[in-house]
Amino acid sequence: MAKSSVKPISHPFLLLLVLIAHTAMMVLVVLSFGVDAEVIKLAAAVLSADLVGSVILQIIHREACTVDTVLLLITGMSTIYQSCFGGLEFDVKHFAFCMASFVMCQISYAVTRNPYRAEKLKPLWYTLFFILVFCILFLTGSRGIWIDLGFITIQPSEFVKPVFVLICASSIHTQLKKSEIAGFHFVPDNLMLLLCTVVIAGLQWWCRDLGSLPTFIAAAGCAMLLRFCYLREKVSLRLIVFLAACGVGVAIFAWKLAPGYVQERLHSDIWADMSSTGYQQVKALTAIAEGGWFGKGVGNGTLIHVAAARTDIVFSTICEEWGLFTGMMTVVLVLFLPGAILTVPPRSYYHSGLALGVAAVFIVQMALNIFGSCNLIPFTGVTIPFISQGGSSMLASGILAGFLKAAQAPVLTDRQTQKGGK
Amino acid sequence: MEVDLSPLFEQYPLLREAATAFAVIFVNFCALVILIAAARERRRGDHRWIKEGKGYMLSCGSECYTLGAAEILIGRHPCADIRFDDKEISRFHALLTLSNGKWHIEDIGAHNGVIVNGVRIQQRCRLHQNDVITIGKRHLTVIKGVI
Repeated sequence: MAKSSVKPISHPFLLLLVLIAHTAMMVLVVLSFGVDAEVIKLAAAVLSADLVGSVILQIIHREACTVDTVLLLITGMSTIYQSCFGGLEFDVKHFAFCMASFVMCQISYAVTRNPYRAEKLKPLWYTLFFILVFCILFLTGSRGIWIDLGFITIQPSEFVKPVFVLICASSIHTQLKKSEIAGFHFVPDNLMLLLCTVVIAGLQWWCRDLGSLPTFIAAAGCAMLLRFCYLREKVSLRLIVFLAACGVGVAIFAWKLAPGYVQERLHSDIWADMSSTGYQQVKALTAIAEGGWFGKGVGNGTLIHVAAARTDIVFSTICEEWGLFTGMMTVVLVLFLPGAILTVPPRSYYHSGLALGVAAVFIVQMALNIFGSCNLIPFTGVTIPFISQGGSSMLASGILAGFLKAAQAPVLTDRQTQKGGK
Repeated sequence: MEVDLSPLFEQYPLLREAATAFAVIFVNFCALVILIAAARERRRGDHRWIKEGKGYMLSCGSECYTLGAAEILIGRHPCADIRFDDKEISRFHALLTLSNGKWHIEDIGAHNGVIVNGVRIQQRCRLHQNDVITIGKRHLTVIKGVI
């Protein structure tokens, strides 16, 4: 067999690029704050994380370096942003979660890189899903979404996202297994996906956390679309019209029965109600306008004093201090992650489903956050993956990035076949 | 050691914008190079795939079908990876799978069955170079592509 003529991508070269990018940002930080202990701590943490991350990747494996490199770049940028909002103070907690998300990415890659094995683990994903649902129902207090352990708070609904994406992915073999009940033929896997979607929608309704619902609906919708397009035998126009009609019906039903606070957001005019319901959005929009193309200066923002400046309206906070250029660049960089599936396409239906689910989650979350901040849609209060502060969100995003990596560099070994199955 | 450089920005307001532009340009430059690296990774991924799948292809007369994924559906359905508009071929007829560097074919409920080298297969069957798969009236030969 002829030797590959394509030279392997040099990890040290990519690391150098990430280092240069972070150094350029640190130069700006130094010019803004001068040189003091906090700046040195921040620079040392970010740059050493790049070095350590690269060495670890070099030792473990050299495949799918796009996802890893972009992840290192984004997490470093995120640490710099979060440490500089409203004044310099190295955000150790955020940095630790960034590193943890990188580790989670490698772990989830190891678990899902073999589509045959990951598919066999589906009962485990269902179990995990219902355990998390149980946690949200009974451990978060009165219709809340947080579990307070005293020293740390956990948001289990964030961890449902990667588990739900795992449930969304399916292989052709699974889709070919049909069951019959009362004369109806159906694929049990599709029925389970439908059940999980209904459960999560009901749960979000119950917890009054409907902001994340579009993310789940998007992931489930993409999974269903993939199944109907490729794997269903009898796709007809009638079926599509029926499904579309059902979707419209559910949307109207949800619109009419939405809780009061949702109705308020759907119908509110933020400019007419600047002091209460529109406060955050007005401040966020004003901050973007005040920041201009190059920002008011690192640490000079005022939006940081508004609630959720580091999480739900983080895009506006970045735009205010770093400028709209930097804000847009950050968005593009985060979009690089799901975009990675376009560079190296998945080689199995399972990984296609996985990658599509992750892309749906990332893109919808970003759209909800940014468009919500800009008053293009009602304010939902979801995070931008890897950029917003929040440990649960960061870890869940890391797990999702691992799925993308698995889709890029799969391992196609089937133990059953290896043992002698023909 | 503490050095305060902020008066610089106050004295030269354009310096802040220049510094921000410098940082943004550098980060964008890095992102661009990573994109180029990703494109190279795609080519490398293609080569890795050819190695993994032994470069096998299916030849049917003058047509040649590359096996670009670990699961290839053959059938009459518009969404099949290899589609034959032939009444004797079921909508979803056969499934080719790759595992452990070996290609296998299986009958996924075809009415007329799947025949490999003249024998109708009853279970998953491993494929070798020059094997002839008969699906309906079509004869598909497993060939090795050029790497």
